[in-house]
Amino acid sequence: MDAGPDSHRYGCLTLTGMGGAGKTQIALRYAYERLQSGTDIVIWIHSDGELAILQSFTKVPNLLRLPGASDALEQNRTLVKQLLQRSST
Amino acid sequence: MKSPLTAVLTRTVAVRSVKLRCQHILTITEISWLLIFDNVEDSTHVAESIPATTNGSVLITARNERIALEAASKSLAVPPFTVSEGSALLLTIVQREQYSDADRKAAEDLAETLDGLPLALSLVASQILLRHMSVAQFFAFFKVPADNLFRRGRPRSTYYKHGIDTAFHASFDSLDETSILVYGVACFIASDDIPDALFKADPSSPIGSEAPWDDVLA
Repeated sequence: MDAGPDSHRYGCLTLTGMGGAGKTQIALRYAYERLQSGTDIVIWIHSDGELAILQSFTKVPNLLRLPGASDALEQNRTLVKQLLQRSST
Repeated sequence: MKSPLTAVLTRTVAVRSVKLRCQHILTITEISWLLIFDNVEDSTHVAESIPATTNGSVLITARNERIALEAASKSLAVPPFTVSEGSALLLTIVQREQYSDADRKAAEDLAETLDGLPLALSLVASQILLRHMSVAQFFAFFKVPADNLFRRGRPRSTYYKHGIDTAFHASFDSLDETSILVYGVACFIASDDIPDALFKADPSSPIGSEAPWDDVLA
């Protein structure tokens, strides 16, 4: 996947295999090693279904320590709510 | 008026915009990141979630090999363990100071019975630990309650929330009725190690690419 643990070159790899073969465990181990070797953040997205993906992403702003991260979701929700309320009139 | 539907819709739209924002940040950031999509079932949602950038890494896990193609990534097959790898895993988890020859033999038999499936082996190993049994004792006892052991799919880790039963059945969830029928007949005739080639189109055979299960598997 990468030229070495220090390389931050873009790479995309898919682990395939039957359920219980250990794909997730390998990914966990790899994530751990990358953190040990200096990768700044690891983002874990549960991907069984679109909703799970979206839910996992909601934790990312905190992970990235974005300003106002904790209330990003709440702000967006308020905005959308206002929009929906306006469009219903 | 606030209907439940509106609430759900609002939330979905809100989280979607969080996702877009995250993707954008990963595209422009200086920090190094690794993005893991675990247990992908439908590649469309993942393909649209991968930030368009070359300064991070993406790792995907999926049961379906086609996910790799659709997410335009290289793929690596994770096969089950061999009998010796499987018994080594089991003995490592059970963590006794020493094992008798009977224990080692039982570990190999368990690995073979469970087809070297690491999730099954680690479940069995934790049962051996919990019940304070020797591996040999457990193997004798194993044949009776094997069903119960696996059916209760209690979450084992935050990252892998399925029991062995769910993990097994999930592999077949996406099959439609025709596939299940074809697969059922195949399993009835040969219960194990059915060659992949049987299910792949072969223009030189009399059936050629017209095989009835062709569309089904495609």
